[in-house]
Amino acid sequence: MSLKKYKSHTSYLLLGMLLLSGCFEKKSANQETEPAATTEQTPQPEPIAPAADESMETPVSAPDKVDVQVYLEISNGMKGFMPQAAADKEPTGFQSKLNKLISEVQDGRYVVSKSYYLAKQDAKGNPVLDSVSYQTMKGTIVGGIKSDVLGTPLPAMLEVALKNAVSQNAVSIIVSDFIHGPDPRKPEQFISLDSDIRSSLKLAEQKGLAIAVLADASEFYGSYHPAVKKPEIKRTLNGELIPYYIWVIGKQQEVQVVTSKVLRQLPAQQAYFGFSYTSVPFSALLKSKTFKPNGNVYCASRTAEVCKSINLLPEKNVPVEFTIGLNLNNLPLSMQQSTYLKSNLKLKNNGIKASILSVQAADENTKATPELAKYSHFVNLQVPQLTASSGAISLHLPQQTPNWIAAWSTTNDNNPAAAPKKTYQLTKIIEGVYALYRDRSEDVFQATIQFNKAD
Amino acid sequence: MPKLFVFGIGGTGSRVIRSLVMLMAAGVKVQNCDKIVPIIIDPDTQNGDMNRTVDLLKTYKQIHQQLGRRDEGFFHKDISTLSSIAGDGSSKIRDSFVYDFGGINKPFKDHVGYNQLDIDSQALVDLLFTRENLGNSLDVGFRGSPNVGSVVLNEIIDSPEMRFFASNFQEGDRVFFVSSIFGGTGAAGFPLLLKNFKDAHTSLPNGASLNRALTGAMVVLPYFSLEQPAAGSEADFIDSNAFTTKAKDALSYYQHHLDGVNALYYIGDTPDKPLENNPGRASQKNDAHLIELLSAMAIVDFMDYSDNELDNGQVYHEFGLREDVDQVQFAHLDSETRDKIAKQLIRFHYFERYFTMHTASDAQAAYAKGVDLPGAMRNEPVFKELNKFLTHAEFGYQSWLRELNRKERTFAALNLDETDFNRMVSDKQIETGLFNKGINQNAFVKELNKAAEASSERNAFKATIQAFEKATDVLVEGKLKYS
Amino acid sequence: MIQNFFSGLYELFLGRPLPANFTNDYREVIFPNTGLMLLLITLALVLIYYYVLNSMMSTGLYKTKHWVLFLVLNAIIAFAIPIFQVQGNEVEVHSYTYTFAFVNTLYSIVLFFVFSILLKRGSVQAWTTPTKWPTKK
Repeated sequence: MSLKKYKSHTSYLLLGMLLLSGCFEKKSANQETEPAATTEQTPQPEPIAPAADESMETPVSAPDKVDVQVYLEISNGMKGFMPQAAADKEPTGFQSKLNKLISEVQDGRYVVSKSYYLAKQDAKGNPVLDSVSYQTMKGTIVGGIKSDVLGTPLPAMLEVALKNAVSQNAVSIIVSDFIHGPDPRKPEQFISLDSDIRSSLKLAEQKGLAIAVLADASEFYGSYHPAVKKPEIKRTLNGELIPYYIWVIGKQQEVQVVTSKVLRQLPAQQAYFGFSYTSVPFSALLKSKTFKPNGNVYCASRTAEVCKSINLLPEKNVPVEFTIGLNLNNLPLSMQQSTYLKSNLKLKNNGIKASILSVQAADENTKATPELAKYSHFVNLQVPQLTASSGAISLHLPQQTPNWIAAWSTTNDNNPAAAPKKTYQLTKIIEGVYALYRDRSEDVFQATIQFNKAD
Repeated sequence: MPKLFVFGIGGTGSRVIRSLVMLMAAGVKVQNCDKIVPIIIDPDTQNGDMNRTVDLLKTYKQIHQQLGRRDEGFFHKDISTLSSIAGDGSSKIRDSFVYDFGGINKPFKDHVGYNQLDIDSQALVDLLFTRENLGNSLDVGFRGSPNVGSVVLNEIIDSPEMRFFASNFQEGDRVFFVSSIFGGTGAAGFPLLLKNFKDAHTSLPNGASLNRALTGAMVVLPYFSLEQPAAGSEADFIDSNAFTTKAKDALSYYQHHLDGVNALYYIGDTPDKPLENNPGRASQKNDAHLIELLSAMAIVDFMDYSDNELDNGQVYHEFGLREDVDQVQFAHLDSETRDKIAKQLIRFHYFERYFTMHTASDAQAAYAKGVDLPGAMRNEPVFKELNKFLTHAEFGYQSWLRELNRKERTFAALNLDETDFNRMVSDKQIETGLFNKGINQNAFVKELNKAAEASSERNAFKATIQAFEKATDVLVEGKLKYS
Repeated sequence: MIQNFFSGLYELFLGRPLPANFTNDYREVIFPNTGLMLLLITLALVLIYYYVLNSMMSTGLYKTKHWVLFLVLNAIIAFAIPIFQVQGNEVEVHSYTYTFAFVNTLYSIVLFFVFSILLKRGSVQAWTTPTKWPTKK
């Protein structure tokens, strides 16, 4: 009998224990430090608030729709890209690209208001923008250029187009071969090309606009007018590849819309200027099962969904390794390439020795994992040593002139057959653009994680 | 505080004192005295009844001394030897509960110097005593022959013991005699001692105090018979057929010659089946009998009266049961008697039953562990004394109770063979149910623990006895609800 | 304060939490929760043993073996708490978890004993369990 009594007491006891543990679970869920004496289940504010804060940090997604102005240079040098259409003739790459482009501008869902301009120069060598209809623009592209227009001075044309676009708050898409054809009366322009370009685009920098430069090459039929007039003033080409450029100038987000939604298939050669992200979403991933950290490292905050402050303590033979998740979806496409990031992502370390072990783009696996789905890239870091008890690790992507610029540039474009896909003094043009934005921001983005030595 | 001197004369005296000791052990209160001094007078030094009473007294004394002086509880009444009442060890007499007759091992004939007497005196002696009387050795007692006893006992008045008694007798002390009316020693000894104490010209010291002493006496009328000796055997036996005759003679003597007795108690019963006829020596060891227990209660009753109440001339008491039943329960006792002893005896019985049956397995119980009872039980002599008191095959409580249960008129109020506390008291059993287990070991140990917890006593023996006193009190009042 | 105390108490024998990325789950939640639960449950069991079963109820469960039974019961609970805590807080179960449970079990035994010694004197039936010392008399 006494045993039976005793058993029933035990069950009360266990019951009491369960109640107790229940009360504690709740406490831990609410990240309270003082023992939660309240047992009633009053709905506490769920940790939604901090999550909301985090979402604020993700940049306002690019506007869905943009205003676009398309500028097509129609100097004589461009004629070879747009030969008269014939049944037996394939359209050139330029024609099909441009056709798609204006079609997308005209009928695509991402463009609200659109206008088309043909850029040329008047008799005095001043640039002129003829506002034309979509049909005219289309006809020009497929039917060839009828008028006779001498070379366009590049800086002047850019300046006018830009001014026009800015005044109407539109993104300008400027299509040109970017062969500098200065007024024969002003040959010094060759020398000051970079500074002239910089001057002409000053407005863009002032207005906080960004520039995307996309380079492609197309078959060229007919008279080719090199910048360097020796030995030949002009050459007749029959399908050689000549570079042409599409410049997109506008607000960073709008340029992104144009490049990703309107242009869609971008050539490999891309250069971006003035692109800068005050913040990209990122977090140290310390509790992920996919990216398990090594060594002594943990987030300073137990409950933070996004961890930007960590505690770590590398030990001899046990370096700390952990992964930072980044959402780079808003970056220009070329910058999202893992290979690009691998070679260009840099670390700024303060009080710590750290290095990047690997950069990995999101894959099916990470996209399927809720807490990882919001990140596009995963950067694995190794920390073998601390040099101070607190500090920061900064992952940043410096502004960079891409390599292809040099490859596509030449000092003598006289013979494109021998050296195809080269533009006269492209480097100088790009230098001018680069100089414009050089002092605005060194980095495309920066992701900084604070650390403290773990105790 | 005054003392009570109890003279237990002969075998019956011993046996009544035995029951008295049991009552004292149970904590029955005796008023108006703080010390009982039993003096057993029996020339038969080998007498079994006497010897086991003496052993019991010795054991009681040890236990009482260990517990110290208290006003109530088990063993609380001081029972001392005659010699110890001087208190200073100056007594020249033997420290014993028994009067020392000092080696009277010769025949009565030699004792009185029969052969040296002139012929006339011899003729007188022959007239008064039978040939057997004269030939018998005295160290077996007087074998139901008061005529022999009165001669021999008269001499003890001049003994050192009697003088010591008299000189230590103080104003206020009381005297109580217990004797049988039909035996040898008792029938002769009681009137003889009384006469000497109350004689204004007594040769004893302190005679005036003795003369004035309040005196009670328990006279036991025949209550048993003895087997008739087989035909042809030696006539060296007591003839129980003569009991009634002798009693009659004695009573008629008492009627006129008992002066100075303030309260006289009579008790008797119709004889039971005859006892084995063992005249004296160790073989005279009769089973305890209800009559003796009731007789012992007379002493308690006597002490209940205040001095003033007793001073108003001689009072006679006779004992009677409510019903003439064979198995006497507490309920058959008069309510006054029952109130005095029942609860105490039940408590003591509970104590004895629990202590002997369960305490050994209670080593871890708080009341035991707190005072290291197991160690004390192994090492302290007093626990051996207690064990003897409770379980000794000769004189222990268990044998006493068992003997009381053996007769045709039995004391059946407490059942020794019952191990269930709920059924130990014959006329009041505890109703038990699913949730009320009455008194079991758990309930008992719980009360013991409670009692021990409330006590600050550190001596294992004292603490244990006190715990049992308290626990049994709670159990009797709370569970048994005896009233 | 409480967190530091319990973290220090457990890390004294366990060392840093493992896996390390759950360090503050241990320090801020699991250690203090476990420690507090250990304290409260042990205290509750001791109180139940001494004051409910052995004072109010007098169940006869005063023997050392019954006390040991409660001590073992408490130890089992103490072993289970860390594991439930670790799982309940979605922390990866590691061999550290079981070492932690083991250390908690040891603490529970020490604590049960200490509470017993401190509180047993108020018990009626079991103030001598498990030891007579320290005697209240």
